Amino acid sequence: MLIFWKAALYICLLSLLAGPVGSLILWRRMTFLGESLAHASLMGFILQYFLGWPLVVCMLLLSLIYCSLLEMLQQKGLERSDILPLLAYGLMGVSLLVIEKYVSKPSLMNRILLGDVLLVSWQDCAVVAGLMLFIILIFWRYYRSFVLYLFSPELAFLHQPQLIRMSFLMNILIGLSVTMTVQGAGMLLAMALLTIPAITAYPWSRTPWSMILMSTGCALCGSLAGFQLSLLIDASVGSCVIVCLLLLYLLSQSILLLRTYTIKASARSLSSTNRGIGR
Amino acid sequence: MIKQLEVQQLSVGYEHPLLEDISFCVASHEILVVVGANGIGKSTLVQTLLGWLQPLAGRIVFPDPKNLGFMPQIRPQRPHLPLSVAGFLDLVPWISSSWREKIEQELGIAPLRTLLLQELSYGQWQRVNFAQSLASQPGLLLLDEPTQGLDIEWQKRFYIFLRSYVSEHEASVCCVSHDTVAISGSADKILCLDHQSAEQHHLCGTQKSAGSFILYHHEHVHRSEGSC
Repeated sequence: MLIFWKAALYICLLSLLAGPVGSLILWRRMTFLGESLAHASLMGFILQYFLGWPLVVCMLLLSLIYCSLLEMLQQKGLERSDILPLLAYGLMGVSLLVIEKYVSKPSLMNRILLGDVLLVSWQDCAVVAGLMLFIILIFWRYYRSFVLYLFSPELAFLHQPQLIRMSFLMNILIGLSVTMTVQGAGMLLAMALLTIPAITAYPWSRTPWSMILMSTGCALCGSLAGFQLSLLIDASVGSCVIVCLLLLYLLSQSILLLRTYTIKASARSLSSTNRGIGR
Repeated sequence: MIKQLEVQQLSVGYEHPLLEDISFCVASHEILVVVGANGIGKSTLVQTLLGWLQPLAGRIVFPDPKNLGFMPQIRPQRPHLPLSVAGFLDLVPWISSSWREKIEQELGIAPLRTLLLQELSYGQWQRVNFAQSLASQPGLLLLDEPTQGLDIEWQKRFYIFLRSYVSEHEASVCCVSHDTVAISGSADKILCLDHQSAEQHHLCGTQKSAGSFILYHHEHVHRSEGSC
């Protein structure tokens, strides 16, 4: 039973992380960065296998190296859309080759792709909780500069000149969240949790903070429902959570469509009434 | 008059200089307009004055570097970022709420406060963007194409407002613009970046293009005091 509580706690912590980071990913139009990092995080597992270091440390190292490389290459004048596939598929290709030749663990690929939240430890929960607190703190402190930066890096610089590497800081936040989530939840669930709730929340939000709160709420609802569904039908937690997140998105879109239809219908009836009065 | 900005033999650019050996100064109560063809380096000059880009050579002297307002040339469309006009203006520190109210009133922003930035026309956005640059009541305003997208009525009101702002607050303005008609009636100084010379400069590599940057006072003098 403890295993289930642990997994449920882990999923809830991931959902709390998904709200702010998922929104940031969407605001910066960097879903491909998350995707690319998720692919590259395969290298983290390889590092752990060969160096024997804890997976958390390997993922941390990978995020730092990845974001530094991205920043460095961007400063050299390369386009982000060129660098990301190079890094993602390059690192993934090398990792797959190493796994095929040297790591005789067929279950490793499954774990990386689909994850297994039932296998998470208290240590994993503590890492995600720590990361979540760190990210919320950074968001609280630099919220204004983050949002200003999205409009104009120069304007953000004028108000926070000490944060000359704002883009690097944001990439690091995204990178850490993706790699830390991948190690427990797998690539598929990590990216779904980070993006689908934020996409669902956006049309309902009027402020960035409301978008963060709503996407956190969506992620929590989808995760808990998915967890329940997986117990009910005896299927993997990751897939069930993704299906529930998708259903939430479809429900939200249906309500929006219905609302638009109702507004248009009432506008039509109002104009026909006015025409009748005019005659 | 107090010098708000002094530029001495400045070279700006990225790996290679776009503009070289520029010297000018802007005193309080003065509006300097930078004109020149597309791609000549006007915005790069503004970014260098702001400190975002490092100068390749020369000096920029501000008496008070913190007393600076900046209006960048940007579009409001950020897909997936739900931000209202009021929310955007909250991002910059205002000197007082009464000043904010005054600016919102003068620039016609009050009725737009609840609208999302995506819902604004470009002209409306330019007014919001200009308002944020005034938040701290800066002594020096750096404006990048401020009248782009404004209708004729708002262009007139913009220059009238700018003139009254520099007079009331002893401020200076350094403004990049293509709006030559308005310039002739509003600028105290015009910094003209000559395209032909700049092209020659590119072709000649390191050769200095002295004289390619013309700084002159136009005939209509707004103030009787001398220039700096």
